[in-house]
Amino acid sequence: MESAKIKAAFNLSMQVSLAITFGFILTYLYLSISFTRLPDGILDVSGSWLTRTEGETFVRPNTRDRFLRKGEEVEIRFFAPTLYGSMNESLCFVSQGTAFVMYDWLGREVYSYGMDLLEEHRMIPRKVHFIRIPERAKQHSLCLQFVAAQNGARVRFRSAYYGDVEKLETIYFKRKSFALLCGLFLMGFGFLLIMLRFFFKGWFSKLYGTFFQGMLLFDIGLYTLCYNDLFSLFVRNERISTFVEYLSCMFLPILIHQCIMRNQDRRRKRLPYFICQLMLGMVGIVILLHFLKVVHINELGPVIQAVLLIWAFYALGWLTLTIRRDLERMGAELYANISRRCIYFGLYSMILLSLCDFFLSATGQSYGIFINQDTRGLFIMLGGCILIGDMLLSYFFHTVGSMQEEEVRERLEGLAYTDELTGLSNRAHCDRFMAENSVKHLKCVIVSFDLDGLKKINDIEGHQAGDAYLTGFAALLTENFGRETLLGRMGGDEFIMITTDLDVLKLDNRLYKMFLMAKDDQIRFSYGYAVSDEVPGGNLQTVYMLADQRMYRMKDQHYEESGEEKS
Amino acid sequence: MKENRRNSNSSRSISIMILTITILANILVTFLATFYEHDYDEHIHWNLYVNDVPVGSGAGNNPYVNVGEPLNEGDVLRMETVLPDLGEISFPAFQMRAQYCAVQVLVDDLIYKEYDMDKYRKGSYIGANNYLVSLPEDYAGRRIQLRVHCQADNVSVPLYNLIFDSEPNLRYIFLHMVFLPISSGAVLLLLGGILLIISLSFSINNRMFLSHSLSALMTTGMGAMLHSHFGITAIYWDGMNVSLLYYVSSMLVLLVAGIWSGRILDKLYRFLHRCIIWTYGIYVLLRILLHAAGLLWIHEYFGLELVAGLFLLLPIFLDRRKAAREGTEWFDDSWKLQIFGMKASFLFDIVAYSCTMLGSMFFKDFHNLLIMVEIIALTGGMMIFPVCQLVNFLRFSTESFRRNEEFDDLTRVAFEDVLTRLPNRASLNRQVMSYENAKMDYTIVSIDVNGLKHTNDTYGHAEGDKLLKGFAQALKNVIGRNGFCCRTGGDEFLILIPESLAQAENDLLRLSGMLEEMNEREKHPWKYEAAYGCALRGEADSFHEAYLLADQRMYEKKRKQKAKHSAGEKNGRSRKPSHERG
Repeated sequence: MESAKIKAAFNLSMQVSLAITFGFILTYLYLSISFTRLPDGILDVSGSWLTRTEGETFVRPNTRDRFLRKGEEVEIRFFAPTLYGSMNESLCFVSQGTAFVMYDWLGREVYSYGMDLLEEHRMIPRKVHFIRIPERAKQHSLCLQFVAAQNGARVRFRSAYYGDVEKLETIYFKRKSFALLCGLFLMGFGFLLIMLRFFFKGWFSKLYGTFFQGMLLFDIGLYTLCYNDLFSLFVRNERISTFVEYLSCMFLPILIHQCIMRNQDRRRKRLPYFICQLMLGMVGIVILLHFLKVVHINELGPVIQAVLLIWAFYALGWLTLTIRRDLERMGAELYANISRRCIYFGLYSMILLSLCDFFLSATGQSYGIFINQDTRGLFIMLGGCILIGDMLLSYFFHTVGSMQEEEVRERLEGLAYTDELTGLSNRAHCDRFMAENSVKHLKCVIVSFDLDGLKKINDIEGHQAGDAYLTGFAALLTENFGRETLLGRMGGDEFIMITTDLDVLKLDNRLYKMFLMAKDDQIRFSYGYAVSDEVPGGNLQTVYMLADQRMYRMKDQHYEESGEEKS
Repeated sequence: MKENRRNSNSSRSISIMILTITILANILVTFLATFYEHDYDEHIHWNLYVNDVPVGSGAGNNPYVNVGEPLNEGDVLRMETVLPDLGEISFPAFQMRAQYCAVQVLVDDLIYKEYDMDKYRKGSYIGANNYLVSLPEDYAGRRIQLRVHCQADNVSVPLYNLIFDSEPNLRYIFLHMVFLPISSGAVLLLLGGILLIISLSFSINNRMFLSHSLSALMTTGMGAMLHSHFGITAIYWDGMNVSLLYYVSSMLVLLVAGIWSGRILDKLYRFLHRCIIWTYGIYVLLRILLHAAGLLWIHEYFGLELVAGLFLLLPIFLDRRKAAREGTEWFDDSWKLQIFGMKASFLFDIVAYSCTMLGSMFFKDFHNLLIMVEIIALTGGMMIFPVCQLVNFLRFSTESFRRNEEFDDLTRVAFEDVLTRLPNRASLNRQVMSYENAKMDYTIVSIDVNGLKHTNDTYGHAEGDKLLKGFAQALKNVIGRNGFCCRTGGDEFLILIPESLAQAENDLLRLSGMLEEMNEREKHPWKYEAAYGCALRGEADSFHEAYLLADQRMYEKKRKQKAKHSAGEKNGRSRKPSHERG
């Protein structure tokens, strides 16, 4: 049964992940299709360049990005038209790791970027350029000379636009809106988890890895924002943005590693722990190299990628093993197991999807023709969303699980606390109620009832008749006093009622009415009551004893009247 | 009862913590986001005319605020200035936010740009919008004119947030100002979506299904509300009237919140509350229809929503929970937390709303400050409810982890042999049950460790324990995943292998090989030695009889071994299957 439950959980996490993927893709398609068409007055100039590498003739560029070698120079010629109804024609494109100068047709400098950085041997980050084309340069061809500052640098010919700057910026935003939303979501959710973990320190100590899950999500969000050139909108410094991008990329495996490790036995942690230390060391060395200006962080890209790749395969194997091992030791810790499974599933898909992204970016591919090509790191974002979904799912399982347990407990307690024959509370419940409310100093009236002649009926007419006699009385009691706080059967023919209505006169009237009604049904009983104020200290058991004494007084009276023997 | 009190206390402290976290985080983020520089930070003076009557001049980013009366429908506010030289700016521009009005921008008396004029002429709804107007290259010294055509009555702040700067800088400033709403709105939107997916994929008959779905819906709605209020939806939802979205989504969120809160009521109250919800639903429909017909703009009399909200959310403030049953303190607590989230959310929104109202009516000097407070209050209010939900989930998880751990410890004691860490007799019974249920054939191997008593007597009990542990380890290594092994008594072990006799013999050979190897490697004065007997479950009618059979065979083997060794080990014990001695 338990394994079936786990399987169901697994299926559910699969379903949820699929649903999230589906929603993700739908939203993305909607956004990209609605923004694919360029507004009027914007030219996509991705194909209208002429490029020349050193000493060659000008050619039309390939549509695929070409990686440049360090020190390689590329010259680009481009015709800048005047657009109707536009006053601020400008050019928008992305450069990565290249410095460049832009000249107009007379060889006058219009714009330059990164030449000073190149001389100082500082890092040249990826940057989105919005370059205003001055009036004098329009209607002629412009010349851009790029110098690659690192291996693997590139000029992004693909997303180059020409037009009014206002519209250019709008389109820039809109084309990245999905990445913006998703990145902010991941960051925000991660931030929330971290904050919660931070504040509720002692409280979630048993919740393995909430903190690291939060960190991981925050990291993914940060990475996607940087990767889509959106982080620089907030800090306005591309150098910081690029640095953060590489940093968050390097922290990604470490955090995933920690997330897996948190969920494991301490015995099995030695190797993962070592690997984690190793990777942290690597990050430290990379940062050190960067700040000592030996190697810039963006030149280490291939090294980082290689390490990530190796690690990803290791992690996939590790996760598979862990999941298999977990399958064997299920049992008591069902819900912990289920939730762990959910999180593993999330991490698994996260790693797989990041690998997809990794291959795409390494080969310089984009996601396809129909999809808006400006969003990057799409799969990582999807992985993050699935991870969040699976985490929430695991929380849901816990909630539902505890709720079911609670329900079962309630039902059991209900069984334990009712009298089987009459359906009223049983003695255990009454005693517990009295004990609890004695402490609270509850002001109440306790009535004690006793049936007359039960023994006789049992002896003469049999036990079934006796039972019917008892249930008849219980029904009568419920009919008259069903709304009172507690009705219970204390033993054979003894019943109890506790009410918080302190109006004794009214109670006396009601009891007498019930007594008359009972007489019609051939049921005879005695009763006595006591108010909690009568007993100093207000111990309800004592009050009950008092009521009992009074009841016996009445009972004696009854026997005298009827002239029978006491039973 | 004491425990109950403690729980409610802890719930209160958690609520306070959530409150502090949310507010602190909001202030922190706002504070971080306000670190930006203007390239140009000088006030421009505007001359103001209402319907061509001069009313004075104003400066700063809200020039009209201290000057005139509220504008009415059809009024035209004209603002004029001569642009100063801002120095070398690559893309000079200015930014503004207009409410319920269309704007024409004129440079040197020529129309330069128009915003929403077509809507104004057609008489369709305009709402509030952010505009970014880029200026010509040679802007310095030119005369610029803004003509603001008002569409609604009683607009006291038609145009504000007027900033001159370079265009990228303006984007940057705008993004920083709305960083809090944009990020928390993204969180709310997508979190709500994911929660909705999850609660939908859980079964419908789950007790909490409806309330979870409702809160997920509410979360998404609040995200949409937040984004539309600050005009950010334009980034991803083109061509949508932002104000319309804001008003409609806030009405719907209120409705959903009302339904959600109605779920905690008793029967009678629930009926009353349902009536209120239906009335409000019809009211919302009516408002939308009226707006569509152009009779009453949706933003007018929006203060009524507060009254409606008060009625809709009354159950939360009355807090008439279903009669508290015994033993549900934990759920009570979780309800309390969620209700607290709802309450705080609503109160914060009231604060935010009154900030806007007061800002536009009375404290005009503090307009910017009030906008800041509004951002924090609104975002905080929106975030509190989902955070409470999240904390609620986390608490359940913690609790269930704790219970699991306790349970785990207990089961370990119950089902595991303390010394050898092998399963004990109780788990043997479970295992047999599962095999019997599956109606499969399996081999039963009964094993007896030779010479335990001898070792105990001669070398002490510590050595005897070592012998048992070593033997158990060997068993685990050999049988491992192939079968099930357990310790049934002092020196008796039992293996179940769900395979044929030959396979079992094979395993046992490997076991004795391993024991010999261990004897050679570890230099103990005693030796690992065992006798075993196998029986197929199919050979007998019941497990019990098959076990007897295996035991007998083992015993015969042992006698043979003993005869072979004839080493004076005593053999007077009468052997019976150990589970009978039990």
